[in-house]
Amino acid sequence: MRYLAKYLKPYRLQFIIGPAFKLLEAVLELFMPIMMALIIDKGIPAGDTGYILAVGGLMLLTASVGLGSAVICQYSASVASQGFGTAVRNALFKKVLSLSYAQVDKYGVQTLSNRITNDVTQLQTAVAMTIRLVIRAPFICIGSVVATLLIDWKLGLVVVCALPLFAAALFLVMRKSSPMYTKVQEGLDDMSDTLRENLSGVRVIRAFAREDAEKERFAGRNRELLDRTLAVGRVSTLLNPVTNLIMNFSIIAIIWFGGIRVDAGDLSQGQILAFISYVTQMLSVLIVVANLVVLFTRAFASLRRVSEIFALEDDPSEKEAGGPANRIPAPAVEFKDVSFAYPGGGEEALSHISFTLPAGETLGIIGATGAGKSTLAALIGRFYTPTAGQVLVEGRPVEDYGAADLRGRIGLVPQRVELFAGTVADNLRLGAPDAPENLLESAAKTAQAYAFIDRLPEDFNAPVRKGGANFSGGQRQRLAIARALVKQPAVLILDDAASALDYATDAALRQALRRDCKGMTTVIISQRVWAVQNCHQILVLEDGAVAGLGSHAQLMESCPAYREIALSQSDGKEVSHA
Amino acid sequence: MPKKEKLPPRKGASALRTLLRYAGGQKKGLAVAAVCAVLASGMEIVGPFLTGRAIDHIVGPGQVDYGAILGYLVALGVLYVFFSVFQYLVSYLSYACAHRMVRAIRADADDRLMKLPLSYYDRSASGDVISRFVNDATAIADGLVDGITQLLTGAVTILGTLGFMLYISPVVTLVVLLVTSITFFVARTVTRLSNKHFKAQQALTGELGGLVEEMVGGVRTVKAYSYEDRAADRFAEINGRLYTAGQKAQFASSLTNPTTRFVNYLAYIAVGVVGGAVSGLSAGSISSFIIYSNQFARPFNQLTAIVTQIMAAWAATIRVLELMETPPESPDGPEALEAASLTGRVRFAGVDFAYLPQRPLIGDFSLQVEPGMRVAIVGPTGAGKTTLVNLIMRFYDVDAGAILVDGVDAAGAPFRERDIREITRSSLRRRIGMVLQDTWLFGGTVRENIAYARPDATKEEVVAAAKAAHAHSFIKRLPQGYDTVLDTAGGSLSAGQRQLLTIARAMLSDPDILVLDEATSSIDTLTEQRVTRAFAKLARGRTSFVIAHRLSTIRDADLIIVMNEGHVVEQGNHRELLEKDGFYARLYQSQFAAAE
Repeated sequence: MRYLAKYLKPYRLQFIIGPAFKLLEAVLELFMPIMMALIIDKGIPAGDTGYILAVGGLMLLTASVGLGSAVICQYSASVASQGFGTAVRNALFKKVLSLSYAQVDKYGVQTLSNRITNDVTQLQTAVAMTIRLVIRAPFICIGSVVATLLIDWKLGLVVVCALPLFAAALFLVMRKSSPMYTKVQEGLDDMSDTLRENLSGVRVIRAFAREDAEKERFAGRNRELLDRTLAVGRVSTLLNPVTNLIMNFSIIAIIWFGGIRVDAGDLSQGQILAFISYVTQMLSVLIVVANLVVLFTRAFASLRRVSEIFALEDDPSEKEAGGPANRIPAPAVEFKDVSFAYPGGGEEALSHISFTLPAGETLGIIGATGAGKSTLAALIGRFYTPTAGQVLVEGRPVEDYGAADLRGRIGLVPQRVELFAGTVADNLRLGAPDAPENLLESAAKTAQAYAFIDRLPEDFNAPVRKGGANFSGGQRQRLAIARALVKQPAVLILDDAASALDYATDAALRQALRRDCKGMTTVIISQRVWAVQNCHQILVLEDGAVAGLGSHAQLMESCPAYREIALSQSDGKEVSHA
Repeated sequence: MPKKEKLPPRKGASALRTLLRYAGGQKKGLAVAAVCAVLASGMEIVGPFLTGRAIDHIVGPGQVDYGAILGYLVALGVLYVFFSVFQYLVSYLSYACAHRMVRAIRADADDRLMKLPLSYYDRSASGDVISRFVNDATAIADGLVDGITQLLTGAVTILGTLGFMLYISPVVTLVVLLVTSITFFVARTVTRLSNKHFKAQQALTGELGGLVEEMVGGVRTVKAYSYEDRAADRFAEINGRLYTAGQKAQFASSLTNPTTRFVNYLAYIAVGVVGGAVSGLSAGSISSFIIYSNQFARPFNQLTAIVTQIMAAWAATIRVLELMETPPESPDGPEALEAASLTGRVRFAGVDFAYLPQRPLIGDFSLQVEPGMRVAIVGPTGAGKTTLVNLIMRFYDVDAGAILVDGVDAAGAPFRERDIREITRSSLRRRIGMVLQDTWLFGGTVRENIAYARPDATKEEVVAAAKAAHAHSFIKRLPQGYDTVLDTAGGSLSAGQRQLLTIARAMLSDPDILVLDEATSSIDTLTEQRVTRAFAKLARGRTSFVIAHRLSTIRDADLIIVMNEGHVVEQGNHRELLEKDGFYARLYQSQFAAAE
């Protein structure tokens, strides 16, 4: 809660004005039945039209002032809640983007997105309802009870008895139906999942002629959903009839006991009407209170989820400030006995990695899936912090850099490409917003992307849809490579970045890189020998440890792991050709 | 392949007819609900009349007619009990009927979905289709529930209260009508105003949500390119616009309750003043009138909100109908052949095909494949290699020419050069085994997934297929072995293991012709070796069409089909194509140039 209090502070005024005016409206409302009672008891028997009109005019004035007060309150609520929501959303978004890889891994993208959108909206609604209703609803309830007790406490007891009965009915129905609603939601999710499977697997389903079986499966989900929906309906539709029954019988009780009280001379006819008005008002407001309880329960859950993110400490890997620059010529990348385990992950993902990569040279990293290749690449850009050892870039330990500075020197192209909605040029300029057009062109040419960009109707201004969905896998990868090249990084890291490219294009790419980016240090990560065999050095990773380090020829001689991979991937001819 | 798109909207008089048709399926329930609604509304109207009468017998001290009052109160008690019962029945029955209607709609929609041609699947975004089943159908249910109850009760209430009010005092009734019309206009204005801002708010919320999804989903790229601040600026800009729209929308809609209350008070005051001063009504009559005017105004108060919900339901019905009225695949002809087995001899005779008429793909393509031949399909990424697969499997049918096969039908009679369009789709597809790059597994056990094509296969047969696919060893090491449940999309297994399972699945179905996609770059070496061996075993002796990525596969193929940009540019075996010195030769040379 303390994380969010500061976003409420600017709206202190609204938090006071809003409920105050709502309270005024509620107080005024309480007087209405009393004034009506006056008309009935004094005005009508006496036939005093002037009196009736006067009281009527007073009631009109009261209602109008009440309306004005309510409008002021609603306005305050809208300004405060929306302003609060906007501020929190901005802050939470910034916070999420500042999280380190490790922190993002822990929560997952889906829940982080949901917290920024859905949970903040819940909190926003809660703030609005607090200002609008938290004073009014309970006040009317209590006020009505007090008013009736003041008029005639003996009859008021009827009202006092009705209150807990009504509340109990509300409580029971809501408690029973709440878990049932969750089940309905689960049923809907199950139905979606089945449909998604049917849609994505349509070729397999038809290839194996299993349409009927899938129809049966869906029908089952459909039936189950109906059963759950009907079950919750049986309970939830009880609410109105039961509450109406309690309310109506209260009125019957008021009339009967009211009659007795009037007979005793302690009550007037008009006051019976007032009683009926009060009890009706009170019971309808109770439903509002019940809904408020539900709303606040949900809001508390959202509060917890949002605070959790704000409470996360800044990961040192994201720090901005850097130390002094390095003047002596140094290797581009150096690993000194580096080990790393994922936080909360247990076993070491990398152990005792050491190598030196001189500037301008190429390093190939090869190994099976899960050997730790991508992890190693991430450590170079300080996206994770090693648990032991030191990583140096251009002669300085990575901890000495500011995050933006370090990542500016590194061009990382991952296997799974993330492109953003916008134009091709926007995406290429992601790392260098001021890059001139000719730089984009040359980067695209090297990345083997220029050909297809040129063929697009708007070439570099061609639209990129969300996720790059309007491009094929290979085209997306080439755009990502171009994007990294535009940054003109000191170190280019290709993490299996050509997996969707066919043989010919991949070969052309590697040739172009060799030709066009002579000073750039390159790290090529792959499972394929032909991708790394021409690198100056090759690092062989097996289960997170170094199985071999050297040139292709050296490794073929001395590293059995490398030899095995090389032989299994070739057909003899290619290997001897190298 | 055609691009994914949203289907165009349709007008909906047919939507109304469709809803009525489904409502017809719930005739009984709706009829009972209608009767209960009339009764409940009737009782609700009689109530205030009786209370008014009772109150009129309470005049003052010593002037209380207990007997009469008791009579009225007992009548009221009975009335209220029945009222609650009928009210419950109306609510529940209309709820149940609405949801049963939606269940039927969903069932019919799924039925149609299963019969739609693949072109529909390829051009529709899956999220859009799912949304129709889940969100749109729910909107129909919600609209129906409210629509039905309001329709039934509203009419009776309005007429009944009007009648009673006129009976008590025509003059005050006039005043009430006046005030009610004010209510209606006020409610409509407030709703219109807030709807305008809500639309803007919704659009901006969507825009914001999209940005969040993109940036948080792509957080790794955001960090790698130090895009955090720029992203935050973009977010703040949209957020600012959202504040304006949201604040206005919330304020406008929050005016509904206070204004309704105010107008109700106007009626309250009017009844008291006019009733008392002008018509000289009794206290009881005033009490009744107050309640009647509230009851009378209620349907009008709720009208605008209900109309919005019904409009939403109607729009949703139109969207669901779009799906349900999409023309299905032409069914198998009545004389379609039921193929029991295929020899593996396939002939493409002058085949023309295009997904879209303005973008021709395959033109006058001819090919003769003998049983047991291995045909490799090669070409750059996106060349259209999967098109041939689509045609062989009859996922799409040729535009001109024909694909002919030899085999034996279910009666045991052999057939030669039969157009595959004359064979039932299911029998044809059962004889062709498919292993694609996209490994589709569903949320069942390993055994159920392997036995997908033959659910009645014995455990021994399943294990044998798994062994042949070199999958048995890793399956054994899973927590529950063959009974391990895979989560949807088989996420707990590696890409290679999933591939092996799909090969086992194909093996179990013992096909006569094989279609394979070799792309396996995301698999580790060891598993890949297994996959290669499994592929080889699977392909032995069978005619196979392989989308080839491996050099060895291409060179050893009996026939190579070379595709580029969707067209078949060359065909022949490896040596012939090299001699031709065309596209294939260039493709092949570039692989060796790379090795330098």
